[in-house]
Amino acid sequence: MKLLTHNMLSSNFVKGVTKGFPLKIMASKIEEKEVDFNPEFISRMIAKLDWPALYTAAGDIKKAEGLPETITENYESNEDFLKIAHNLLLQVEIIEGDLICPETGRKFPITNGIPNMLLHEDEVTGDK
Amino acid sequence: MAAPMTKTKLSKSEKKINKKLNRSQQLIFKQDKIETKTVASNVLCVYNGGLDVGVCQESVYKLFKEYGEINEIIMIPQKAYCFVCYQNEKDSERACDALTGHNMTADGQDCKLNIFYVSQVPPSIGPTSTIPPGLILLKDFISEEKEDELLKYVEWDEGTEQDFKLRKVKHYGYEFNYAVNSVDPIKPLVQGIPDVCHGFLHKAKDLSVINYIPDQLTISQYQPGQGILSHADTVGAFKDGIMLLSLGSQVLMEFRHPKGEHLSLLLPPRSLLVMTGESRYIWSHGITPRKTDIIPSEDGQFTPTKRGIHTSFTFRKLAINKGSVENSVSSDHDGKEAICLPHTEEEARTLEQQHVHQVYEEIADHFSSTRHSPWPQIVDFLKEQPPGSIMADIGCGNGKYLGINKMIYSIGSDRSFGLVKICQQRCFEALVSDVLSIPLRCNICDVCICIAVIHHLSTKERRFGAVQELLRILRPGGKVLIYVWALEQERHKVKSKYLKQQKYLKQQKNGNSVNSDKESPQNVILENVSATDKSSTVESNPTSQTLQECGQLSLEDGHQNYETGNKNINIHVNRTEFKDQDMFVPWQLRNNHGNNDKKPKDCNIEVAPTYHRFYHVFKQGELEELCTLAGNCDIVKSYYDQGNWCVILQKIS
Repeated sequence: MKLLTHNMLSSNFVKGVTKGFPLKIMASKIEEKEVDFNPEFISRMIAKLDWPALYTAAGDIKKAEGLPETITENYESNEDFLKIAHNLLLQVEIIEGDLICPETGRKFPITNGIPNMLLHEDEVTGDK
Repeated sequence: MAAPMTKTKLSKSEKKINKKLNRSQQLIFKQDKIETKTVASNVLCVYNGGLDVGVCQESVYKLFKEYGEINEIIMIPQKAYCFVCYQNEKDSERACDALTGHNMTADGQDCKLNIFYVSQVPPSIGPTSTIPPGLILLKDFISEEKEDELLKYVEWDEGTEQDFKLRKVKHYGYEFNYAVNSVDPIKPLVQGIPDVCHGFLHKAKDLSVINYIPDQLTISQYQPGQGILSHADTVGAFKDGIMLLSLGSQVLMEFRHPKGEHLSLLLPPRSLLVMTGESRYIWSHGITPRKTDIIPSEDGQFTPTKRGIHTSFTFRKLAINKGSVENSVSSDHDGKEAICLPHTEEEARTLEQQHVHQVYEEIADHFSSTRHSPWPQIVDFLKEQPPGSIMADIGCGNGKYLGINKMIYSIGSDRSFGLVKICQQRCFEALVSDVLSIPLRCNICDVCICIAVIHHLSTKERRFGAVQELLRILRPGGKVLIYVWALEQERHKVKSKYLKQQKYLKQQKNGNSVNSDKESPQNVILENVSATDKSSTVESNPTSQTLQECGQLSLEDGHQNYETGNKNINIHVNRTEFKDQDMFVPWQLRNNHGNNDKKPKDCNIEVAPTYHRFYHVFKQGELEELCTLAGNCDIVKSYYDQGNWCVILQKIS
């Protein structure tokens, strides 16, 4: 799972949860995979994502070093910044670990890079 | 080493071999109650030549065939040994002498063979003590005189019968078409069911094992070593109660449940087998091509017995009315079916769990291998999305739409771990989640697709919930493309691709139904029903269940007892039009994946379970209605694409 995906995830489907974002990451295995750098694409993604959540997630996996807490101004033309963001958003992959609901503490396991976001039978409300 | 108990003086190495041999023999006696013989017999137990040590049947065959004609090689799962049955003792003795101590290479390791004579093979591969529910076996149903008369009847003239690789067949009443596993009801054959059969057919009806006189007969003749692949008779084509009269040699019939249970029943000559209810609709049956059968002898031992020429008369009753060949889902049930549409949320979840999620998990690999070409109109939709869009494919399957547009960021989600794993291996972003609980933030996606998902939800509330959930994750102005299977498989007189793929029918061996004939006695074996004795009674096995009670295909956890008047879910016949909006659609698994259990060429029995997926097929306008009900969206486009109803919605705010 890439951090860009993580930035869109929410546990708001869990009973009683309102926002469910961002999910805390507890990673036991992280890999980096080479992805072609496309500054235009990464700029568009940055515009859409929630930067504070990315900053927190980067901190969760100890990759926040060198990452500004807020979006740099005129980042579209700042290649160094875009490269950091590119690496963090698209190259870093959480292979093993857990995603934790910020409101309930419910853990969603990540196995072989795949988050399992299913609820157990007893967690599903009958009045959906 | 023909006789391990020899009294002559032994060398050190011979003693060592003997010690090992004794140990193997003791183990086999302990585990399988098989006694070894000190004198030569034609059955050899080959220790260290079994599946558990990685030896396959083919390599045993290659090695042992050098010493004489082999009738049978019996491999037993999870055992370190196998049994080789020779035609005669001399060959068996030669093989035993020559191959004891032989090094066989399996999994890169050498296995020293220990071989000894046994008088029988283990009972686990012989007839089982239980038989499938709904099965009735009437022993000695006809007299020997009648058997002779019938056998004379099948002394076929050359050219009048079909000669299959595995057996000879001939049809009466209606021609059985093996391409579609059905008959053409508007083309009856000149020759109906022969008069010679009328006597015992009426007897069967009088005994109430069937409710009607059959109108179709297939006579099959099997030479030793021939068989028939595991199959269930086509649901829509024939009524409940398929009868099989066995003549000539005995044969062991194998029954397999889609969930993997395997039972065997010995069909003695002159016996009548009646498959009703679950045994007819759910279990598949077949004959393993063998030259011997494992039969319990009077003293309770199991010994291989040679198979002679086996002739079977299969009697069926057509369920199809003239003019309704295509709509061949049996509609003549008496309303007794195992599964109804769910009434509660919990029942709906259970139904979908069993008949959608579990099925896709089981068939993931095979399913994925049949889903490689993306649909053009979906591809066009994805390609027209502006670069930098965020796209969610809810129900992404094997991910065939995740890589279409490289300029957008695509996330796939599916309920099946197996399918998501395939996406992951193809380097796509994918997660396991439910369409009713999409783990994405509100208003995050620029675009969504949801292809062939919503029709798997079993209540209107849930289908509505899915549309709402898709709209929730879309940003205002974002678009979602939804595809669902259409009830109408023919539009403007053009059949959908699905209907056109008639060739598919050749692969479709099974279609199962869940209706049961409650009048028929269930699961009984009767001894000595003499040919003239019409007063014989048929006793029901008290442990047997009606199909509805047994609930193999029904909702478990006590949900199967519905009140009357509920709507049942029928089983759809693939490549035909839908009879109903809520159906079970069979998926015939081809299990050529990961099957490394090699067998000799003439022994190609195949177990291909059929799974039933729940579908609610949409009728024209229904999808639009559902979307309008969800609100907060405009229907940008709605269309029909190859048997599917499709909409593009745009979220308003």
